[in-house]
Amino acid sequence: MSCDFLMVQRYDKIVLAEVKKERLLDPASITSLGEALIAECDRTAKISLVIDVTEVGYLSSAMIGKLVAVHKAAKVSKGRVAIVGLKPALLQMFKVTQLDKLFQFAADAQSVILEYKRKPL
Amino acid sequence: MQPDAHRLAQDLKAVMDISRAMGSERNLDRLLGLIVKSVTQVVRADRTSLFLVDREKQHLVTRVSQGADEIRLPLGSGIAGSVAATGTAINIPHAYADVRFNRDHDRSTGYITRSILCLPLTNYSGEVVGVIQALNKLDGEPFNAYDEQVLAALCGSAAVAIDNALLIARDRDRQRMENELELARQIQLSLLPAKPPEVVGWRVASWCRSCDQTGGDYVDFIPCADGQLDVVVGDVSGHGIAAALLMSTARAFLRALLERGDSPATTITSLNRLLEADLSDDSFMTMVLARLAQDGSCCFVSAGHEPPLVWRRSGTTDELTSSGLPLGMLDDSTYDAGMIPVLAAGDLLVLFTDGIPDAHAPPDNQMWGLDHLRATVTEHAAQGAQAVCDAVVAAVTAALRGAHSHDDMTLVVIERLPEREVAPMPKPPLTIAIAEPPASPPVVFERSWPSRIDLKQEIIDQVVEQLLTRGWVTEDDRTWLYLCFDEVLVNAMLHGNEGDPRLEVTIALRADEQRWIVTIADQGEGFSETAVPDQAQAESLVLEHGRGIRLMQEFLDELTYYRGGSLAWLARHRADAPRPSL
Repeated sequence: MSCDFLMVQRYDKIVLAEVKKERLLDPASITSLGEALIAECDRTAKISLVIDVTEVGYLSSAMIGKLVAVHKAAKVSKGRVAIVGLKPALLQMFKVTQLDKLFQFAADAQSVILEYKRKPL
Repeated sequence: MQPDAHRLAQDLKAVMDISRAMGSERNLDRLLGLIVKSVTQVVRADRTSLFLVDREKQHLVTRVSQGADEIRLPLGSGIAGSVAATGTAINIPHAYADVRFNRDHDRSTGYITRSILCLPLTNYSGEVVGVIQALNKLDGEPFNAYDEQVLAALCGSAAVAIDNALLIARDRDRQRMENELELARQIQLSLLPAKPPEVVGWRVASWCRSCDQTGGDYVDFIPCADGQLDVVVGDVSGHGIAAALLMSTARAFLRALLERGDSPATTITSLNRLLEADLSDDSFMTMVLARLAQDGSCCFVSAGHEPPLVWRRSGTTDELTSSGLPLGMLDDSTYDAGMIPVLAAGDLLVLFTDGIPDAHAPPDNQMWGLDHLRATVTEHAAQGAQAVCDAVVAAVTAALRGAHSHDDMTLVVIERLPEREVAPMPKPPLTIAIAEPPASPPVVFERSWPSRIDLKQEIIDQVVEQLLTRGWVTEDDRTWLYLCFDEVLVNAMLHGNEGDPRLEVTIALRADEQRWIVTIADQGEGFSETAVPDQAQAESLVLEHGRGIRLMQEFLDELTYYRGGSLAWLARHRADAPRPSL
């Protein structure tokens, strides 16, 4: 399923996925974004997926659940997932649900991409 | 022929001076040089050699020799060798007339030996520590009885001084060796984990003791991807420095291999190949690598190691049998991983080296044994990892009865934590009441909408704007408000009203002096608490649903469902109201 608010750039096994939408609340958006990210994980073994959510202001628990599904898909491909640009209130939601242990977080995509280039899987 | 009184006095003074000087010299090389020089002077010899006895090799070796390179003789061979073997002096007036004299040395050096005076250096306990051999008296005469007496007096003092200097040198060597061993111990200790790691879902207790200053046991905790933890316990054949060096090598190889992110089985197979290339035929290492995942699953690979124990709260204790040969035996050995069925809260995984069950002490030398280990684990398992570790250490120490252990001992006890400690998401009580909501402040805003999910955004926008314009919430609350209303509206429309657009959701807004209240009511049958996923479950960390209630509880001061679950009551302290002082 295509996702019209997701911009994907691929650098070998490092995939930068920028979410260009402020509200990740409606089921259709959540489903299309989740499936697009999972497709990236399925396509690239040992993927290093960097999800840039700088523009995201709101998300629902359903979206958080979908990100867990993305994490699972990356794990199957022996990959890893980082979420970057998360606003403090949204980061708090991950912490409340203990999901901060599941993902790597960073302020911006650049630093994570550099780290992943230095330490490929 | 006895010397005159003046000569006698001179020689006596010389012997006393030399004895004093020798008594104060602690450096062996300088002492030996002083002895040779003194002997040459006192007996007026042309040359003197000093041999020391090497008891281990049964040799006599020149330590100081005037005009000659090192000479090495078997004890009992030649003149000096005979003196060393018998402890009896030999005085040869004409060397070439004596069959015991070996002319080879003269032939090779061109020196002509005429007379020889050879005396043993005997210490306090009557042991010959060396031999003094003087050659060719300067006046051309053979050495006489007086020379023997003077030299004997000198040799008595010299032997004691040499014995002392040797003891000091040995003590210094021992001290240096101990310093180096201590340094090696410090280096090895720095390679062992200072304390067990803190890792989500697991509690680890460990204990390690070497029987020598350095040990051949290896224990390591290496965090890996996704919050997993690798726990390694290894045991090198033998102990001491050689075992410690092998342990350090294995650790370096293993840590480098784990960086590659391979599976435990691949990692151990590679480690074996690397170690096999480096190890001598009689060296090997056993190892077990257990990879613990946050969800309680665990896989392990064993290379000929003591089978780890798994104790379960159900009362069973299982052994995880070995899956491969010890490391370093065959370069083409391959290793398979075994899976441990998911450990439940309170279950224990116990890794150890054979020094634990094999601990024994005289007089019976009965080994402590695996049965005792299992029994101790079972007895204390309910108290957790640290209690089991402490109990095993106490029991093994008691079994040793103060004797020195003959092998290194390592113990690692891993406890699966109760679920609430795995994912500590405290769950405030969620009340689902049959009753109507309590008497509440007057409604300031109320509206109903059909159960159409496409209207959700518009509804949320309106409610949030109502709250914002009244100053009851701030812009910073927006993110959480959207999450909460989204959550409740989805429940109301899709679950309460089952997505039927003919049924409505009604939202009402109220406030008292301290808090705002939003109620969202649907026309459905409500729901039971069992329909709400328990977020405190360990497994919920990787579930894709079930976080909504917990997230709402994080933001709201009150979340209650009335009318059997068909009316949600959301309340929070007003942003424009002062917080009550504590």
